[in-house]
Amino acid sequence: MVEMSVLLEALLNVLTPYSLFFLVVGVFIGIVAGILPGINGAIGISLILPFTFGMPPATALIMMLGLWGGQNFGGGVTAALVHAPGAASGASTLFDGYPMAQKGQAGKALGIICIASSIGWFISTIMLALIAVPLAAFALRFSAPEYLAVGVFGLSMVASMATKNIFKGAIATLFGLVIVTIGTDPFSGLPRFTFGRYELMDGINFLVVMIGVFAIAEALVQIEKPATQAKVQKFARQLPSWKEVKALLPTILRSTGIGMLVGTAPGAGGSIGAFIAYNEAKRFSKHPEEFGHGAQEGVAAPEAANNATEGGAMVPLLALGIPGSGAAAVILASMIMFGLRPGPQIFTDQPVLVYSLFFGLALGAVVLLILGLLLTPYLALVMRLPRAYLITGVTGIAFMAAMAITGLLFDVWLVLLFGIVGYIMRKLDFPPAPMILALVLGFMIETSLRRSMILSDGDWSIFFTRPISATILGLAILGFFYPMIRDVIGRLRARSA
Amino acid sequence: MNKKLIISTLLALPLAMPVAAQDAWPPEEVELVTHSSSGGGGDIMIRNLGRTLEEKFGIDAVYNNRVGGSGAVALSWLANQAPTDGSSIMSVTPTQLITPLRVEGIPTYQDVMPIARLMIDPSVLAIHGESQFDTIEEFIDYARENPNELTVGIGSAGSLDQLVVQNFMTAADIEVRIVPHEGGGDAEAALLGQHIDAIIGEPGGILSHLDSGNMRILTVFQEERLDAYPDVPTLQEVGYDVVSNKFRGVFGAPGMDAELVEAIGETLSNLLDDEPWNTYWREGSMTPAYLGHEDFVAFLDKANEELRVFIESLDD
Repeated sequence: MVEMSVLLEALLNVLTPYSLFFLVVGVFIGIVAGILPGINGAIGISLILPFTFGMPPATALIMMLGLWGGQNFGGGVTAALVHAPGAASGASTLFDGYPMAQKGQAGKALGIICIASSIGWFISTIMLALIAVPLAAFALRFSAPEYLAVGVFGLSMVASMATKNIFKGAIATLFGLVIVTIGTDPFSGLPRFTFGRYELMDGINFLVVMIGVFAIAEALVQIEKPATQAKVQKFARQLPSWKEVKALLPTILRSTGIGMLVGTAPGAGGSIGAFIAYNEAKRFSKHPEEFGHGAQEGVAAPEAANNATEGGAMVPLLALGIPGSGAAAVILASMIMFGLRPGPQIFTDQPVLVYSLFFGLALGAVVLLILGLLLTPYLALVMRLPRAYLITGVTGIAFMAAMAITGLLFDVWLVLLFGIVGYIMRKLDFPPAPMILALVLGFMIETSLRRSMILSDGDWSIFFTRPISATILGLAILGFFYPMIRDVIGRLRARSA
Repeated sequence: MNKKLIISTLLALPLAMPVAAQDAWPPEEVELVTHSSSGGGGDIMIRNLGRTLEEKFGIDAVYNNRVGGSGAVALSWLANQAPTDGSSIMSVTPTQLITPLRVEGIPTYQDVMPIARLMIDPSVLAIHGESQFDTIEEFIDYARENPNELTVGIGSAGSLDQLVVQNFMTAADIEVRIVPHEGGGDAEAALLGQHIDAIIGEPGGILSHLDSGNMRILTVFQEERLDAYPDVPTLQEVGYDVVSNKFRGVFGAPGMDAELVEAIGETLSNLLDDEPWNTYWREGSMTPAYLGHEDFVAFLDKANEELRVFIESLDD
């Protein structure tokens, strides 16, 4: 166990006005970076990196971690307000956040995003501080078959996402999986379906697809509507009530657990954790039919999960020196620049620093809660903009974001292309969510399947002889058939009654 | 004091800078470009290089990640749009050779100005601390008796690491299964979890695991032993001539003045003892391997030819 003196020193380290100031600045920059599509956590952190050189390592790292957590909240804000995620981790917040905002509950949606993010962040930090080392050992047991199982588990959600028409859902999923194959074949290193364009060699960024399919398609749909201003904006700034928050707590706690576990395994990441949490929230919900139409759990679950993933990602980062995401890679690089060497020894060699980081993270969650709730009424004002201005602005931001992600004009055309694809999908009633899910998971599924085959020398039993992968795959099969089983049971009951 | 005086003083400030700064390199502001995203290998290199230049010469370094197309975006920019006055230089690794070999129409090293090779990143064969193997000979003997049983992880397919394993297999007449990952970190995690038997890696990336004993190095794929691990033999010593040339250097825009190219090379080669560059290459167990423009081009010709044969073989 850690000595009290170490904990006390770490706490004092963090509670200096100097550290606190930079923590608040970090969280604030993070929120802004998250709101702006195209600026992700990794870019945000590298932008502030040069300003941290003069600081003590603990302060600099706390500021970066604050930024990291803040950008998750910001990503959800953009998703709810303008139908395009500001950061990849906010992808699944869009499904219920946007309908909520459209119904005139923008303040509530943002409030829930803020509260869920903060709680997810806070709890995962506490857990991290308590069980980082054993958790890291558990994460190491994840090999290719386990990652495949997680991917398949994620894909099994398609069944519950595409409730209206399972075949259209399946087609959308396949379309997403096809898009993922564009890029460089991860096992031969040769270009695949790139049509000789070097812009496609790294594949199509899934944010580019999302911005097109959601933001541009939404703009196209809105253009068709008559130019009357809806009257629902009256309550836009109202925050969620204490009662509502209390009702959401079980969802938030469950999602935090999911997010943390997913984050611990390097190679999964915030968007996957958020998707899984979203689906579990739907499965546990008493009114799953509200999902997709502004269910509060549907907003709380992914936001709690994506912030918890960041806490989880600290586990492999600190305990193994392995970054689980782009932002984690920048933090790792900065740690090395400050002369720190993450690895199992850092807990014994630099306990004060490690626990300063934990305290800083925990405080960061509180800072986010306060800052987020203070900012929410102002952010929700976006909904008061006349629709014509809002759509124009969103379209502009969408194209700008496409430029910002890779700096290629080519991606701007891609956004437009996927905007048209998304519009056609909307008109023909194809659900976009399964396609996005396939985009998020497809690459991990392909690489872990092919890697498993190399490891097992072509023996398919590898997926069922390993306990973790067998368990997750079993859950995936159950999850896939659950909606059908539920239907059958419901019908049987109705007949016997 | 009036406003005019302040403004004119400020305007005159640059004139008061040492005259030497104008003939030699670096200028007052240097743009350092990399194809890596934030936190990647090239990114870390330019940030260390930039800070060293800032501290030594009092200049400003600007970092620019021109990410995309496995380096193609950065190469195209360098060949077509980069300034030729030496205010922009780009960090390079074998990626800048491999990518144009994979896709036609991307500028090659012949379309830009190779300025200097600075470092060789050593490649090592690392195993888990609890592995059954104590020496590289044991590893080779086992692989020979059990063909296709051992698994060796590499960062990504079609990379220099894969070439090293393939050359190793041919030279030692063994068969192992090559397992590509999504980057060196993923391969390290797989080795730590003992899901694979070995990895090809850089000591800089696995330093903390080497110190803690969770990983061990069996052999080094370069001509000299590593200073930090003097007991680990090179593969050449064991009798197999396999050397990895994972170089780090800088390219400039085509048509740069020959004297300027030389001046940049000079300046960069003299940074070895300056911080944080010194810590950067020492911690990474890199070997300073400076080559000026002409020698660098000759080196690139040879490396490129070897890679061309390798990339063509991937198609089979």
